[in-house]
Amino acid sequence: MPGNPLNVAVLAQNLEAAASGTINADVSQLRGFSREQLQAIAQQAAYVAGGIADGSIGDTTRDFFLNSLEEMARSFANTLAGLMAVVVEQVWNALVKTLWSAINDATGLALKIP
Amino acid sequence: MRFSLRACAVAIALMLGGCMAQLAPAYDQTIDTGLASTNTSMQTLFVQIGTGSDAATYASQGREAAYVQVIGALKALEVQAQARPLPPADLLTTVNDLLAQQGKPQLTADPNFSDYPSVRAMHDAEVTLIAMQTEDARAGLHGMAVNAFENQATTYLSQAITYENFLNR
Repeated sequence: MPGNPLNVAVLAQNLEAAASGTINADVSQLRGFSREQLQAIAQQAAYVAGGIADGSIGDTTRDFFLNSLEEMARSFANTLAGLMAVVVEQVWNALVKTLWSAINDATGLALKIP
Repeated sequence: MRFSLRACAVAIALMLGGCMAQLAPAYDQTIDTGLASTNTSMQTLFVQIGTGSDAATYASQGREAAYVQVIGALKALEVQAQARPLPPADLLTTVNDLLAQQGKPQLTADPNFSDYPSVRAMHDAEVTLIAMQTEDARAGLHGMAVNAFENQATTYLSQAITYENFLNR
């Protein structure tokens, strides 16, 4: 049974709304995580400097801590990239759902999302 | 920005063949719960250490057992997290190509996704605790070194916990 004509402009608006809705929900969480991590990494630099100054970080641990400062930043960046992949996946699937909903509405069919 | 997001959204939807996709590992509640429990044990150890510890009491006051328990738990969680199937590499490559066309940064420099972010973070936390354990047993923990070890381990574990929790979508 024929459905409603597919309006590309409306579809584009709905796709944008689906993407924005997903992104806005996740961005605030990611911003909070980034802020906390960057503060912790900055604090770590201060702790390491303080430990070297007070002698508690000496020959046996100094290189470990200095190398770790770089790894902390890399691991944070790696984690953030992983979190972004989840966001993109959610946006992707939200767009697909919106697309298929529009197609089903236009065709009057109840096609299943692949 | 509005037009760019709309154009990006339409382009992505049309070019991806209209299929649902998975770009990250599946959520595993036992890993999420395990990390929370391990974090509790680790923070309890830090409270026990306080502002410093004496090497002479490393074993007698139970710190050796606490380190072993936390490090062992992290090793087990690493294995569990890495045992999950990887998302298809070609999907991530497609997404990165689309992002590049829109002038956006790539998702990751590793298109094969061979590094689970949480596994890397768990391993880093484990390495930190092993170094902390070694120093505690050798000379005790003193001064800012205590803060440095604890902040480092906590920061890594926070990365792992955040990532695994985020997979619950």
